[in-house]
Amino acid sequence: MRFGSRIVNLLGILLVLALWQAAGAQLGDALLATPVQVARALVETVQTGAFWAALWQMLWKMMLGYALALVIGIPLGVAMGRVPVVNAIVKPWASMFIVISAAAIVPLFIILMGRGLVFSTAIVFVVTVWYVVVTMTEAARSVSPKLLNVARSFAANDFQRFRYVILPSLHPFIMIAARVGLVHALRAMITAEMFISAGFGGLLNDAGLDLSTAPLFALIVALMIISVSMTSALRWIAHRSAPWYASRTGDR
Amino acid sequence: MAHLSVSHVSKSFGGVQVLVDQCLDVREGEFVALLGPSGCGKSTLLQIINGLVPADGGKIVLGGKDITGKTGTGRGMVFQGADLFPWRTALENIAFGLEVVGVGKAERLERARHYLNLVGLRGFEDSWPHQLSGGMQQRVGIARAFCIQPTLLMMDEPFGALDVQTRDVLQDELVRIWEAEPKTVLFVTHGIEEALYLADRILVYSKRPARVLREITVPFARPRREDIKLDPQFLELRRDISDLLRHDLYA
Ligand SMILES: Nc1ncnc2c1ncn2[C@@H]1O[C@H](COP(=O)(O)OP(=O)(O)OP(=O)(O)O)[C@@H](O)[C@H]1O
Ligand SMILES: [Mg+2]
Repeated sequence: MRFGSRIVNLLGILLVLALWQAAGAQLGDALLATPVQVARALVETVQTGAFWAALWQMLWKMMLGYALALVIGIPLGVAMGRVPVVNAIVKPWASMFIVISAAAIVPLFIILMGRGLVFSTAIVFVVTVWYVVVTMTEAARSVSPKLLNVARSFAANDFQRFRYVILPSLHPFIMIAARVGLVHALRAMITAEMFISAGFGGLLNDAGLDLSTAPLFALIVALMIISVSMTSALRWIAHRSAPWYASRTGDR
Repeated sequence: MAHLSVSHVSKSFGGVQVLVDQCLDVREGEFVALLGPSGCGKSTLLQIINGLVPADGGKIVLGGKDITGKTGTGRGMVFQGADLFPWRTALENIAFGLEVVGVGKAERLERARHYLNLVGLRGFEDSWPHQLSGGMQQRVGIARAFCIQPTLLMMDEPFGALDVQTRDVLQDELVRIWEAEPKTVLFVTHGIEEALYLADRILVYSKRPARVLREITVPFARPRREDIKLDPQFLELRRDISDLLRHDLYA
């Protein structure tokens, strides 16, 4: 079964690649580079020092804002889910900010903060934190009152109920929030860098000026690979640390 | 000395009286079944005794200790839907109560294993609750309550969600475990037959606000076996209680 679906996956990918190849050959690489050209450009790109320097710069700066979003977003979301007053205060802001895309606020943030570390951290944080908050609010709401009662009937005190019931029920959702947040953080970081033409975003800008679209596609593919491997790593951690959840949802 | 004594307990929810001046005495080691129509307040009474719900007034004394409004201390509860912790294996679920009171890991798992074997789940130590059938989950729930060696065991329709065959099997299991480790039991049920089969005494409650319609001392000697369900006296009592409940409902 699992093996069968893998094959279907693979066939789907091959089909798209074949179509892409045909379309690319038709249109020419100024419009649409073929997968073969992109692969070649990718191999070239990863051999340059500039690529790795830009990648490294982007990742560690992004991690700063992302970590901050988790550290603040998780407790804030949990508090919103469990304490009505907190929810009443924060909810309107959350629903307003969550619709703002990075591109809309970058110009303002550049005026306010310049183009340094504070700026990129702030952009990533502001875009990411609300996704974390919303996920954790729902998670905290879904903590089973029945199970809290069971713990209470075994004379568990407040701290024990938090440790034995609330925390384990939140755990899988923390991992989901981390995964969802990571994708948004990455997107926000790229957008910010494209505005200030620095790091990986700067490379994308430069590649966009090239006559061939192959280098641009190569960078985008590299970005996809990074994003997928990072979320896969998080998924793997989630399964290792909450096997009951993975097993229950049949998700491996 | 009565082991459990509930005196003058009242409770209303937003002006709706559910329990009015309830009194109940249960001897040490006695198995008492509470029967009554849906919504009459049986679960509420159990939760007040368990300390999960505060009473508006009244007093609960267990083994000479006033336990009104307190949880823990000698009481174990088996919940209707088993309500196991999905992130704990069967064994860890059973050990939960011991973990809360700070029993060390090796010891609590060893004691939990004893109860796991007692409810016939040997080999399922490391299963997650969702991997167990409803009946097996309820066995874990029973073992979890027994594992803290309570003096009072409370069960709120523990077999209500199970099919008839599983229920029959689990009733016998419960009797077997209870005979091995006797304790005072309060058992809420809708099943007249179940109450007659399991209990020493049955309290039949009216509809809300709950009031004891009749108190029945079950005359069958222990150990009881399946065939008493066909005893003429058993059938007669069963019909009596059924009539009683029906009359109350349409009164
Ligand atoms: N937390 C609550 N808030 C408001 N009303 C409640 C609450 N808990 C119980 N009630 C009401 O109290 C009454 C008794 O409820 P209870 O759960 O004790 O009934 P029960 O006898 O256990 O019924 P069943 O056999 O269906 O489980 C019901 O009318 C119910 O609506
Ligand atoms: Mg009930």
